[in-house]
Amino acid sequence: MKGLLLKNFKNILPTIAYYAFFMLVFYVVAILSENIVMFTSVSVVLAISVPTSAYVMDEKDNWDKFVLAAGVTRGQLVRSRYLFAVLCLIPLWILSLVLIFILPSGVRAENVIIFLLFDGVELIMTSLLLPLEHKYGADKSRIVLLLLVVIAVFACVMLGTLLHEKIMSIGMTVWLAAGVLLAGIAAMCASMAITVKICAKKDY
Amino acid sequence: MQDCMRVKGLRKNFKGFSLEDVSFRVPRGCVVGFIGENGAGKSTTIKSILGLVNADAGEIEVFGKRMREIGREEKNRIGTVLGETCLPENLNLKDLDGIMKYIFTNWDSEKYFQCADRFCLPLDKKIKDFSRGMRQKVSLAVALSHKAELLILDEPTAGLDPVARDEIIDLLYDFMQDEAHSILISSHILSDLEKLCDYILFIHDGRIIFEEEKDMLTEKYGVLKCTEERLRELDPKSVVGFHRGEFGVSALVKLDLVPRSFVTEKAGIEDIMLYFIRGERI
Repeated sequence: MKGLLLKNFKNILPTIAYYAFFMLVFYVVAILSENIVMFTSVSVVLAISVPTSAYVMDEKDNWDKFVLAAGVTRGQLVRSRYLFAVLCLIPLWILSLVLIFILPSGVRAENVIIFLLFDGVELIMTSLLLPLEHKYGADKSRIVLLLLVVIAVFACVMLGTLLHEKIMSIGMTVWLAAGVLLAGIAAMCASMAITVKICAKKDY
Repeated sequence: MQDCMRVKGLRKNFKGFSLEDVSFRVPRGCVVGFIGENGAGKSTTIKSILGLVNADAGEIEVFGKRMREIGREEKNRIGTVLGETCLPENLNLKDLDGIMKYIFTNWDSEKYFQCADRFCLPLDKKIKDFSRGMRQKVSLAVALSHKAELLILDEPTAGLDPVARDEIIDLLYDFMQDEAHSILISSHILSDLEKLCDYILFIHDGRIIFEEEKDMLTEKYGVLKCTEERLRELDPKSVVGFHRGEFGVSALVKLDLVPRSFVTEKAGIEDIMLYFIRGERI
């Protein structure tokens, strides 16, 4: 597992550097505009782009064939990809949390809702994307990736409207956002189990 | 002789192609050359052995144990070079060393860098900037650097110039200096196999045609050049296949079934393969 993760990070380092710069720009914009959404919405794109890029590289390099022939099990390979995806999310979550605390507006319920909601969305998107990539390959899954981003943005805007129009109380919206996060965690677990099954049947 | 690997009744069905009852063995201390035309089933057989393809039926034993029961440490005793380079192209050889020590339980960095040095591979250059030959050498360096006892090589010399091929063959010779070591190697370059192999395993259309000692093949088969009328005097069982030429026919014949009055020439592995696949039958 350590070798697989290390390979992913080393392999993707130039791409991560590019994304990190991109994120830094939006982080500064979020601070200046005092709007956490400027950062969290971009982090959704990053959350799915980095694992996808890593998968694309593995596909191009025929890495799966090599490690499976080397004695790594299909389950370990899949688990390493999910762990890598989560490890990429953690810095984004930490940065979002820091943003909540450093914004002049302070810790507000709206920001907590956005934080929980976007984290959940990132997990759900990742859990939808990884099985598709393993089943159909990165190329075919790219269209789905775009579709997922559109759906996620639409869902977040809808929730924002509910909140803004006070159709739902803040308390309820916090619970709803927390529910999305929990759904994301559950989706990741279910997705990993599905991907392991997909890979067990796959011929490399 | 103890077998290092044994394959029995291997079957795999794909749309339009199937492996049918593939059985063979790789004796310990021997090199088995796996030959056959493109699409004959060599890579599918190798992938099935390595667990990359889920076989429909059959038993594969390696080091006396069923393949599906062996753990990672035992699987690490198998070194592989697959048809294409299967290593992260964004990394250099030093990065690769750092990763391989976690992939292989017996990773030997010293041996790896020795191999790299022997192949004149630059340590700081990314693999994507290597030529095809250099990439194949990196794959082989990795395969030889984790104390493997069995090498499974799928077209390791494909696309390489004669010098690079010779270097790889030399390295495989060195590997075979240890009597416990064995190799299963598939290649289209039959001259490489003739130099290296003890046994020849021939697959055609998903079926094993024969597995024979290389020296026995030359004793068993010969090439007969004569007229078609004279060829027809032979027992049909003695003729594997024949080609028509401008001045008559040339045929691959089984020497033990051909009367001594027929003068034959020595048959190379390439002759044997070509007559089996493309030769006309009597």
